[in-house]
Amino acid sequence: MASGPAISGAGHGVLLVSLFVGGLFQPAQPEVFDTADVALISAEDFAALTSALPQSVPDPEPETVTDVPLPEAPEPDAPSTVPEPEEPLETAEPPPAEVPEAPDPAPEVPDAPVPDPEVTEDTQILTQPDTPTLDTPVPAPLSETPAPLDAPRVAPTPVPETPPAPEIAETPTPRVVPEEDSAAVAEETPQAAPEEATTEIVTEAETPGSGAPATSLRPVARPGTTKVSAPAPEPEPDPEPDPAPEPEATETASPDTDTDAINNAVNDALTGALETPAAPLGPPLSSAEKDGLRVAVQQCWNTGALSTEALNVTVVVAVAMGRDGKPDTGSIRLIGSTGGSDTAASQAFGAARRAIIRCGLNGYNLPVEKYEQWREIEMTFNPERMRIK
Amino acid sequence: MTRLFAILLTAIFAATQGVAQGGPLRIEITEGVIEPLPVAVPDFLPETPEAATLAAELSRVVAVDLTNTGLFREVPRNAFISQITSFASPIQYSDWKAINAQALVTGSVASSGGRVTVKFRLFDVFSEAPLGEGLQFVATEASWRRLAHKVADTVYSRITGEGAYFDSRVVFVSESGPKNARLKRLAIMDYDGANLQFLTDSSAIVLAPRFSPTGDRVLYTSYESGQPEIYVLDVATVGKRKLPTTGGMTFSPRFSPNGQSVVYSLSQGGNTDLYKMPLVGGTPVRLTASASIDTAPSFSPDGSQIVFESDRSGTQQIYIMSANGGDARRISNGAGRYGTPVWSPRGDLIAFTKQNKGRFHIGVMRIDGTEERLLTASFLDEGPSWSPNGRVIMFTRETQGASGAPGLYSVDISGRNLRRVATDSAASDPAWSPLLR
Repeated sequence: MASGPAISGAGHGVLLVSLFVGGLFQPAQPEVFDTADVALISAEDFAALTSALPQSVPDPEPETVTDVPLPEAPEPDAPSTVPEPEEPLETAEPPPAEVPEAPDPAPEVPDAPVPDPEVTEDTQILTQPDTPTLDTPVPAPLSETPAPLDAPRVAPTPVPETPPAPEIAETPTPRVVPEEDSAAVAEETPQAAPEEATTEIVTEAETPGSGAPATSLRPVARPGTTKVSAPAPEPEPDPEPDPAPEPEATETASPDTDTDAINNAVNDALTGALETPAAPLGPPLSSAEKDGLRVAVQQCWNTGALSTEALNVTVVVAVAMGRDGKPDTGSIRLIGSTGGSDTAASQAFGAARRAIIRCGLNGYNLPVEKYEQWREIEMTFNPERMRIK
Repeated sequence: MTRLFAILLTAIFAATQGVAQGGPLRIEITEGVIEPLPVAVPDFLPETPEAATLAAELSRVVAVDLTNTGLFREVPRNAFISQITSFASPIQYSDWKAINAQALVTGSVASSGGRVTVKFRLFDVFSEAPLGEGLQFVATEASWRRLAHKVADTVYSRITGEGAYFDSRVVFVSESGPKNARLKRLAIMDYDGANLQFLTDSSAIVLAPRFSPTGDRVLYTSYESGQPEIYVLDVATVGKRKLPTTGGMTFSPRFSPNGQSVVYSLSQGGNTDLYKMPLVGGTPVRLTASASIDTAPSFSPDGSQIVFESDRSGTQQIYIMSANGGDARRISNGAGRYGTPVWSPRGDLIAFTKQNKGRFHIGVMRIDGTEERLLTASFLDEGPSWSPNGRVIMFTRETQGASGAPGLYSVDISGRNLRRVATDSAASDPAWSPLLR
């Protein structure tokens, strides 16, 4: 029959159409499988981040795996650091000094104009937690590699001081490169440099254990506290002997109710203790809360515009706080200073006062329920670590 | 027993509660930030219409002086929310706080009969109060830049606590011509590069000029007689005379702090020693007597000691001795060679040039030689000179190569703010004057 080929042709046609429509001849979709987020940056990007130079950033090449650029990174850094060496030679070593810069631009939002575009672009590619893990552990051992190149800068210093060194190195390292270049770059970098220093210093201050123990131990031996707290312990011993004879009396009265008597005595003593302070003070501020206040004030304490003499003066400043966490600017007063002349002390007081006011504009983050604890604050500003020697 | 123990425990607990509570909260701030202080300098107001350009230029000079210290940052004028329209009207502090201006300088300028009067006020914005009293300065119209420097000096000193230094001048050697046929002449300018004047012609090589303590005379070395000799030049009249030294080549002169004597190097028979002589002439006193090259002397601010460079130990090092001569003790200790020591006007530091492993550095150290810090490094840095307040150092930096040329640079003693001092031609050997009166 003639319909045989027709049927065959129709059947083939249906088959072919279904194959086309059904996707057999389409390229296979890639298989979906679990991938871990990996930060991909090119060697140039990494060098740009670590050296904070206003370099042009080429498109990140996807094939550069994270591990590979790291050994390369110090090399692009090294030639760029060679023209830099105009910096105080308290640098321990430049790569560790530069390294803390790398995490800083990424999480912070500095005013640094030129490095910013690179950084904000890269934060989309970089995952935030990766940046510290990338930079902090790995370049530290690698810093030894460029050390021979950097030795001429490090060697002449007979009195290196490692703890403050990274801080001080921070400021000149980004600034130094532009000093060879045009004024435009030099103009920008003074803004960039202080930002780097700011974040660096704050970051170091935030490392656990740097200041917390000292603050919590403080309240004990001051004459001021003994005046206030002296009445408090005195009432304590008074209730103490009172419950003491009571259980004895009750004990002689009824030996069977010993536990009751103890409980009563304990309750009496506790209520006695808690009732003696005038207002309910609540639990003391935790060290985390104190650290939060300390760090908040630190960010506004600018010692950059102080004379070298004022940097030798430690000032103690008292301030009364409102319930909203804002300082009462009229109450800020200098209650003590050590070292330096009166002029230098007033300079140092000015800087401390500005710090308290500026960072307190929106109120400090202090728990309202513990308001009685922080209604009056005494802050000691000690510029020992900020000093120009 | 146990009940007594429990009672004691609760009592102790209660007592500690009492001690922990009460008294102000105490915290210690040990770290801060180092950043330039934002300062707003709106245009000074002209009190008369013809003072308008002068007022604007004056405020620009004040702003540039402050910014170039590296300790201040000017808030751009197009960011101002409110404008200063009257010198006497009260300040809207909230507007200045909003743009984060921590200091505000307002001023007014009046000009009449060739005399200019500047009034200014400085405000601490976040404390919402003036910082110090308003002041007024008067000068001839030709010296209007000095007025601006004086305003900037007052603002700078009040905020930082450092001494003033903007109202000063720098004398240096202006160089021109190719490297193998350099022409050198003495020049003087304001510290910021303005008002350049030449003090000598280029007929003879001149080196290392030095100011007197009052800033009115300059000592320098010249080859005009064929060998290096010391001359004294009066800045106002540009008149010069040779110092009456005899016996050989003399160079590297410096005034004593009272301006009456000169200490210098005299080279005789292959040996170079330090001598001191009254400026008006007289018998020179020999200060060193070693078979080595002793040069580059510099007095301490109180005039009791002299720091100098000597190679008596085999390499150039820095020594300190009494101003009357005698035993010298070495204070430089690091690797490399040390030279051109200069005592800070504050008396606490000595600046020097250091040469190590093929590189030159400008550095400072304490007068006992400790806490040496290098502030710069390059192909060729040398000849530091202190600002009047002992905070900034100016020096010569020469770039390498056939087309290399020297220029003047300044750096803060913290090592920050390294910047070039603008000069029209190549320049070397700067000497910073004391604060002008």
